[in-house]
Amino acid sequence: MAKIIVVTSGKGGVGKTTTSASFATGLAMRGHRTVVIDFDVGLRNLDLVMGCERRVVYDLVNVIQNEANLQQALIKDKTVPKLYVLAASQTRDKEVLTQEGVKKILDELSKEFKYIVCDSPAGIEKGAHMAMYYADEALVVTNPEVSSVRDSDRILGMLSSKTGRAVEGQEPIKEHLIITRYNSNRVDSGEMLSIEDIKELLGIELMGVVPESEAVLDASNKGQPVIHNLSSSAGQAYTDIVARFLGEDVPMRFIEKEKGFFKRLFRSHKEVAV
Amino acid sequence: MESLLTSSQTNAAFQLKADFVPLTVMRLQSADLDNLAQQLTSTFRKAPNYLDQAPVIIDVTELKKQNIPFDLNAICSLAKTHGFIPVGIRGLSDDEYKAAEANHLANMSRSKKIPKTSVSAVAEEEPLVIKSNSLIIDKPIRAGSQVYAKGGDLIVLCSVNPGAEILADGSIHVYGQLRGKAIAGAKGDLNAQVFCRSVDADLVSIAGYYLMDAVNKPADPSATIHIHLKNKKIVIKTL
Repeated sequence: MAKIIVVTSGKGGVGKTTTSASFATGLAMRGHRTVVIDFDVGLRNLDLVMGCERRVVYDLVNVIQNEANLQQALIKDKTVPKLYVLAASQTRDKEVLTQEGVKKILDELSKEFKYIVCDSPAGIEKGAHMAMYYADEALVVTNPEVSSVRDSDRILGMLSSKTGRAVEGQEPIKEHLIITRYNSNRVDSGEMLSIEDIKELLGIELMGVVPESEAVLDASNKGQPVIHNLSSSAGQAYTDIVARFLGEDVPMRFIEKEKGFFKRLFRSHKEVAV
Repeated sequence: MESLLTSSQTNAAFQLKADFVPLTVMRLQSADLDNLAQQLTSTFRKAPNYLDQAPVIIDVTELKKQNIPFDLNAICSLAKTHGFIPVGIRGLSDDEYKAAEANHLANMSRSKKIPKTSVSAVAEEEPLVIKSNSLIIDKPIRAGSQVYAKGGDLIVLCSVNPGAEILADGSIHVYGQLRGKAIAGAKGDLNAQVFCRSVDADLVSIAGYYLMDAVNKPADPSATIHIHLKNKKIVIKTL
């Protein structure tokens, strides 16, 4: 049986697709057969971030509506052998997603894959609900700002009440917190919420902190998940997250203020210049 | 048993009905007849209409506890001469009841032995559990969710997060931080109150009176915040 992981947040633009792409890629790089599914029907971003947008022939909706079979719709990643992408349709909307249709796809994928990563759309409506319904675990992506944290709180409420596991009274979904776009300097100056504030409010286990990094935008534009860029802090943070997910004990990085000698020199220089 | 109790046959000679008639219990604290007579006279004088011919249960529990010897028949006739009608005795074991030769009195001891079968039958028919309307929540109440304790208190063992709304017809107890909105006494109970560890709420309301932006975060984590209504104003204080 495959493990189904939903990547969700409530709020848009916090890094769900970036996280889904890098997380799925990371799992596959560690040798696990992984498929990542875009549930954002009508918008379709995951294939762009994964760099396979020109190879999408059939998509999730085609499979749900029996216009294509799964094998036709699965797109094999060019660089990572055990990684597959199931893209969303851009010409439909989320109403075509049905619980039975999603279950059918997940059941079929479960036979072949070890991990199924569901990239949830923003919001709390049908698309997000379908993406989380059959999940075993959830990565809740949050930015260190009030509205994002509140939306994540809302999503956590849904995870514990409106998912298959909750409805059927099974063991609840395992929830992991991922804080993205974190900037420790701005936390210190009071512009951003601190990790402690977020943890205290959401009350779930922290799985990783991804620092704000230009490499993320760069990676999205190039269509290469940022986890491939190991010289970037974001790439390293996602590598850590995958390791932690697989049960390894990896210390948290990128949460302290940068205190390097050169950084300080550079900063004081800048201050003089201003 | 049921058919016997609720017999509705028209030609039946009688019907047995369960009833709840208030009965006076005379709890004896002394077995001294002169002392008793004196007090009976003065008591009767206070409420002659109420006590005249009043059925009474003689309770000797206290006398037994203190090992005071007593003459049951003498006490009964004393009570009768003062207008009471003794109908029962309480506080005697079955054997003592037999020995006392007081079979004109019903044995109403609480420890009265009832055959086991009927005990379980009674227990099944009328469970003596009275359920309260309190609602206990052991998970954090997250943004967008609403919890309402109808007709009772709401007890939250975790925190209430911003964007959540909690309501209770009675009081609200939060064993964590109270954020979001809290509405106690939702149906107008002015005595409803709110208790929590620390409050940073958008709104706290008691019986329709409300306070926006209620904030009190004590530095001492063991402190308790108490919010109540005083002169139609919401008052927040640390206990």
